[in-house]
This record gives sequence, structure tokens and C-alpha cells, in this order.
Amino acid sequence: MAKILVVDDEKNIRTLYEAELSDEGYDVVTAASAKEAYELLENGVFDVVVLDIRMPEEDGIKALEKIMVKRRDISVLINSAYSSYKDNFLTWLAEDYVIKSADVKELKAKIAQILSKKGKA
Amino acid sequence: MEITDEKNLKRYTVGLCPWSSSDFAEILREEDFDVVELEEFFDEGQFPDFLDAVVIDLSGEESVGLEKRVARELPNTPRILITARTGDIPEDTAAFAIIHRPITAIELIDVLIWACEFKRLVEKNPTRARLIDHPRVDVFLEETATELLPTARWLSAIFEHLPLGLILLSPDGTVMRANRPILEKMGISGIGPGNRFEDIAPWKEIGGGKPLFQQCLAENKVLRDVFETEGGNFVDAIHVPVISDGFTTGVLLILEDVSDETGFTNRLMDISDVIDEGIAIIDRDYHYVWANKKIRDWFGIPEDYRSNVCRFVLGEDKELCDNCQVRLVFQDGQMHSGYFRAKTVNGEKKTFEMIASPIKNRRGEITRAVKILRDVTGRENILDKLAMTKNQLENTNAELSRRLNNLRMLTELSFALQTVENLEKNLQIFLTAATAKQGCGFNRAFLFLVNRNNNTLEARLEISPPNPEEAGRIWNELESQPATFADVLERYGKRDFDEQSKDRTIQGMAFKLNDKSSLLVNILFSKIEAVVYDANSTPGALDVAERLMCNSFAIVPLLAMGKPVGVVVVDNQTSGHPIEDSKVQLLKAIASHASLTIERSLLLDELRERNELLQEAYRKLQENQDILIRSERLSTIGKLAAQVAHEIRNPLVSIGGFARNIAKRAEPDSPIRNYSNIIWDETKRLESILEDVLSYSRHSEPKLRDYDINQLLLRTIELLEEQIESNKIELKLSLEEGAGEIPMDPDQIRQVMMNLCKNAIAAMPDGGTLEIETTKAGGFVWVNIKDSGEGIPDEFRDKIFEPFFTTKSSGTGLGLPISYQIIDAHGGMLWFNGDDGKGTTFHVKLPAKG
Repeated sequence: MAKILVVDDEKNIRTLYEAELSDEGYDVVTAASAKEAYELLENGVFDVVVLDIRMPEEDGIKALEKIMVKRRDISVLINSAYSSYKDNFLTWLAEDYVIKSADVKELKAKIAQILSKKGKA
Repeated sequence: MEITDEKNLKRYTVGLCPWSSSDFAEILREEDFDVVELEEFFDEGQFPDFLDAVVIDLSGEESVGLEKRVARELPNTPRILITARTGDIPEDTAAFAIIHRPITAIELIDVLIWACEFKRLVEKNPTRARLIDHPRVDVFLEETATELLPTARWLSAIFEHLPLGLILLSPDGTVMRANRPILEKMGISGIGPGNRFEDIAPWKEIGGGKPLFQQCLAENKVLRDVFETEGGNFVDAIHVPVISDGFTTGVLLILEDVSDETGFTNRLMDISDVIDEGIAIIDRDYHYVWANKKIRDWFGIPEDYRSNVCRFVLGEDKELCDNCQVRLVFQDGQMHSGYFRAKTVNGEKKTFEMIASPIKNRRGEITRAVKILRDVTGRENILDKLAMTKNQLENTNAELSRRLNNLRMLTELSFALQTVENLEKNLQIFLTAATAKQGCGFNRAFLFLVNRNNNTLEARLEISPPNPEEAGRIWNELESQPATFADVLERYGKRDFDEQSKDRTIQGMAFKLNDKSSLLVNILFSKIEAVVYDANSTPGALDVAERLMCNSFAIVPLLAMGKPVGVVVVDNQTSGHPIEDSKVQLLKAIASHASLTIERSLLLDELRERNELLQEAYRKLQENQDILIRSERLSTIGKLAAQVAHEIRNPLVSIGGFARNIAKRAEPDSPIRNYSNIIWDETKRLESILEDVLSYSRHSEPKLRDYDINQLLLRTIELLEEQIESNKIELKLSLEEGAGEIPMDPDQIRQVMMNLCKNAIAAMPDGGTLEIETTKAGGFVWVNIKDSGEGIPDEFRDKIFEPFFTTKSSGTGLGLPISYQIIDAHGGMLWFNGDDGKGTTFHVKLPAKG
């Protein structure tokens, strides 16, 4: 079962994603901050990290950079309310970019797409 | 003094014995006797033999024996004894006569002349008469004579001592007595008793008539005259009638030498010869009596001028000279003066001032006239020159006055032209100046102006009376009212022109600017005025002359900033006066003023045009400023909106996400699922609005890459297929293959196409036709999206590109503004057209590749 880490400072978002992605049959772990995410990543193996950008303390871009430096095998999917970060080349390290929407159809599709690439679908 | 032989013969020589009365010798000498004092001969004893008579005065004691001695020495010489006592006379005396004292000089002389004549008679005829035969005469003074003696003595004293010439004439003109020595001093010689008046006074009576002494006798009154004596003296003669017993028994001439005065006269005459005036004395026959050197020189009067008649001397063939002042003098006795011209002897023509004055004789008759001629040729020349100078001054004055008037007119014209902005009015003022009496005074004036639009010289305006009657009326009106040019302008210049008459004569006349055969065009470009005196002999002038019906006219070009802008043609058709050059020059001056005005008007028009452009630009600028301010405001709103949108998005994700999740988990058809779906739908709508707001506020530069517009359109339509079908819309595609790839940001252009198509579909809720067309032309690719909907109402047309304007209940009002922004950022254009109720077509124009 593919393991997915959702990093978002908003609890409601984490709850929604956990519910929705669990429905899809993924093993979902959530982190409320970048730091929390690092700890989880140290101790566990994740196939996809869904990463918010605007977070207190360390933001998603910084987190992405750190994650990519430590664990190049992990695929990161940026999930932001802002579309403008698409133009920031630092986000280009991520596997894909999904704008936050109530409709999680696209998010799910992207995750499936990444996993299929990895051969883990 | 010259003495003739005859007179010499008549002279008697008288010997005077010693002790004779001392005054005898003097008396005798005065009576022109030669007196020989015999005293010395008594001593020597030899007596002269040439004595005609001997006077022996026996009055003295010593005279006893004298008679005997003389008788002894000169027996044939008559002896005249003078005695006081009868006893003194010798008894045997053979004396010729014995004069008894008292004695008068007249008696003595009478007896002596008698004795002398007798002696001569005896000498001529010695045989017939002898002295001795002559009876002794005893002369006694008559009683009356004795009484008169004191008077006679007194008279004698007057005769002998008065420094006046005295001549006593008998009525027949014989000299009775004369004081010869004094007369001789006066130049009257040979006077003695017995002479005739005519002989001793050969003067000429002036004025004709009888000798004055005869008149004196006849009229018995004292007369006076001046004579010139033989000796050249001038003598004033007073004729006094001598009356005795009621009869005029003789005339006493009292003569005074006035030669000194006459000498003065001579000196005057000498002076008269050196002065500049000509002086002459003319007698009543107009003969020259006397003339000074000047007058003789002028007219070449010969030496014997006294015989010349005045007019012949002057070389005139007329009876009298015109303007002869001398004639007037003879007519009225007054002094006259005047001028006449005459040719002098050396051919010079001179002008003389003549003053003529009468000369009267003692009787007050005008016998002569003196005329004084003054050469005033020089003066006349000066007068002529003065007159000429005066004329010139007057002319100059007139010229100055004329120029002053012109200047005044020009000033008034200039003022008038400057105070009126309207070109038409200015042209009218200009033509008024050309025709007004106070201006150039031409009868008519015609104006042609260059029309740059069609390169022609066109008839523009004229001032001309419609007919001769009207011309006369206007002329009289102007003549009778001496007004200034300003007044004329006030009256005529500013009135509105009758549209029909403003170019009735030259209406429609136009000359191409390249028409070298047109006189007007040639003058326009030559920039030099011309006067046509005869149109027949002036190339290119006939068409103008025919239209004006006048063969002579002047043409003056109008130059504005050195560029020809028109010509003015003037003539004097009505009056027929020749065209004066001075008037043409004045017209030139006026034209230069008018040209400036025309130039000013043209510039003003240009200025107006530019001003309008400027105002338009200003209006646009203000519009842009408004837009800018609005966009600035929008930008701020946008930024705020973006911020808010993002903040809203996260809660929306949760709300929508969970609503969806709940709906999934609820029983189908349960109210929970239904309600959850409503939340889900509304969240989706909110997200859509957020997307639009963010998109508009993002202003992202298009990321250009070549992309096929036709493909893009097809993909967009695919997404809208559902709506197209549900709205029963017929789709017509006309995609030009060549439109193909163009540089674009596909995401942005897709958004535009999506917007436009959605709008078109929304415009046709009850179905219709959606036509989408692509073409390529002129470096652009065109996308036209046409609906058959109800069209955009007029009142919304200006607003549809404004943000947040929407007619849809669900619209954000950002679709078209975003589309506009995107197309604009691509360097293209977005606009629409279509009438209200007949559908709308949106046109997108994008730069084609390359």
C-alpha cells in the first residue's frame, strides 16, 4: 500500500485529505509543519509527499529543498492555494503542482499518476 | 565869348577926357562901348585917331581948355560937351552936342550912339557930309526926366548893381537896355541897345506857341520860364510887362543864372549814366528828348536819339507798346508803373519795370514825361523760381498730404483688419479700401485666392456696383460725405455681403496654378504687380477683360510670408479714368496689410485645427488618466482581492471537500446528500469567482510560444460541447488552415476563447447560431466569434470591458476585461460590433508569426 505524507499547517485540510486519500486506499500520515515532516521522513518511508507552501516557520519551498537534498527518491506534489509559485523555479524540483480546490479529483489523479510512474499503483 | 565881325563893326570907341564924371566910363562899358581914357594923351600930345567920339566933361575947374585941345588934336571926331553951367561953354565951340546937366546915362548914350553913327556915316561918304556942317545940338533934360531922374538913377543903380540879368525890350522886341556885363556872365553875349530879342536869345520856346515875351505883352502878366543860353547856362527868366500911361510899353526880362542848379542837374545826369536804371525823357510825340546811357545801351539808341520815336527805338512795330505807361501819364497826368518785356539790342529778352511820371512846364502843362526803366529780369527769374519753388512746395505738400492720408487710411485699415478675425470680413474690408475714395478709389475690385486643395486660383469676392446708376449713386453718396476711411468702413465695410453679389462678375472663374497662359497666375507667381492698359495687346489678359468688360485694369499679387496667396484686380470701368501708378502703389501697400490678415486668418484656422487636435489629445489623456487611476485603484483592489482570495481558498477547500465527502457517504436521495451537494456546488462557484479575480489581478506577462490557434479553438469547444448542445445552438466553424501557429500564451488565449464562447452561448439562451472563424490577413490572424443573440444594448457598449460590469446574475464581470488584458498583452486587439437585437461579433486580432 502506497504511503503518503500530507504536510499542511491547516488541520481541516489534513483531516480532509486523510479521509479522502484513505478512501482511495492509501496509507496516509499527516504533518502540521515542515519540522514534523522531517521527523516522519527520517523515521519512515513515503512514496509521495503532498506539500503545502504557505506554512508558518519553514515554508513549503524550503521544505521541498531539504527533502530533495536528503531523499531524492521521494516524489513531492506541491499543493498550494496560490498558482503563482508555479513560476518559482524552486518548485520545479517537485514532481507536480496542484492548486488547492474543494474538488480533490485533480489531487487524487496526480498522486495516481506519480505512483503509476513509480510502478506502485 | 565869340564876337562876330558884324558885331565888331557895330562896336563904338569913345574917348573920355580927364576930369570926366567917374561913372561915365563904367556906364559906357556896360553899354558895350570901348572906352579910351585920354588923360595920358594930353601929356604926350599924340591922340589916337580911331575914336568914334570924345566926351568932354566941363563940369570941373580944370576942364577949361580941354575942348580946344581936343578940337585941335581930333578935328573930325565928334565932341560931346557936358556942362553944368552955360558960361562954361566956349563961344566958338564946334562940339557935336552939348549935354546940359543934369544928365541921364540914356541921354549920354543916345547922344553918343548918334555921334558915333554920324562919324561913321561921314567916314563912308566924306563928300556928302562933314562934321563941321552938323549943327550943334543942345541936350537938356526934360522936366519929366528931371523929375524921374532919381527913379532913373535908382533904376540905373538896379541895372548896374543887381546881380541879375536885366533886359528891357520894346514891344517890337528891340533891346532898349541891358546890363551887359552880368548878361555876359550868364552866357548871353552881344547884347546892346538896338539888338533884336531873337538875336540875343536864340532859345527855343518849349511847347510851341508865341515867344513868351509876346505872350507877356499880350496878356499883360508876369510869366516865367527857363532857357538855355548860348553859353550853355541855364537862365530863369521872369517876364515883367512894363506899363506906362495904361499901355504896355515894353517887357523887362529879369534873368537869373540857375546853372548851378542845372549843374547839379548835369551831375545828376552823370550819375544817371552810371546807375542801373534806364532814364529817359519823352515828349508828347513819343520822341526821345533825353536818355541816359543805360537806356541807350539797352536799346542801341543812336547818338541822334532826339529824333527817334520811342517805339521805334524799342523795335516795336506797333503804334504804342502794350502797357505803355507814358501814354497813361499823358492821359491823366498821374504817375504810372507797370511791366513790359522787350528785346535788347544784343538779343536778350528782358523784363522791365517802368515808372513814368509827368514833367510839367511853368504853365502846368504836361509837356514831357520821364520814364524810368528797371531791369527786373533777374528779379522776375527769381520770382519765377520762387513761383516754381512754391509750386513744387505745393506739390510736395499735396504729395505729403496725400501720403499722410494714405498712411492714415492704412492705419485705419490695419486697425480694422486686426479687430476683425473673420477672414471673409477682412477680405471685404480690403476690397472696400481698394474702392473707397479715401483708399485707392478704384471703381471696382475683384479678389482671387489660391485654393490649395485643388491647386487653383479661384474667384472669391468682389466689390462692384451692379449697374452704372448704382455706381453713380454710391459715388455721389461718397463724394457728398467727406468721411474718413474708418467712417466708410463703419458704413460699408462691415455690412454683410449679399451672397449673390459677392462674386457676380467673376463668379466661377478659376485658373489652374500650372496654367502658364493665365495672366493672373503669372502675376501671382511673379509676385510683381502689373497694369494692363490694353488687354488686346497683353498675353493672357483677354479672358479677364472679357469678364470684367473692361480693357484696362491693374493686378496686384497678395503675398503671405512671401508665398503667393492670391491676386486682386482693380479697374475704373465706370469712370473710365486711367489707372494711376500711385494708386496701384497704394493698393500694393493695402494688399500687404490684407495679405498679413489672410495669412493670419489661415494661421488662425490652422491653429484652431491644432487646438482641436490638442483638445482631443487632452481629452484622451484625461480619459487615459481616468483609466490609469481606475486601473491603479483596480490594481490595489486586485492585490487585496488576491490576498483575500487566497485566504478564502483554504476554508473553501475544507468546506467543499467535506461537503463532497459527506455527500459521498450519505444515502442516495437523502436530504443530507442533497444539501451537501448544494454546499459543494456553491463552493465550486466561489472557487471559480476566486479564479477570475486572481487571474485579472495577476497581470502575468504572456509566456509566448508558437501554438496552433485552430487546435486551441477546437479544444475549447470540446470543453463547451455540453452547453452548446443543451442550449440548442448550431455551431459553424470556418477555420482557415493557414491561420495555423502563432506566438501566444496558450493558457491565456484559451481563457480568452473560453470567455468569448461562454458569453456567446450565454447570449443565446433560447438557441441560435455560433459562428467561429479564423483568417489570416496583413500580418495578423483574426478570430471572429459571432452569436445570433439579442446583441449588446447601446447603453452597455461602453462598459463591457470594464471590470466587474456584468449583466449576468452569476458573472464576475471580469471575463471580458481579462480577455482584453490578455489580447492587449499579446500585442493584438479585441473589439466587437453588432447592432442591438442582431447578434454580436467579437473580433480578436493577433500578430501572426514572424
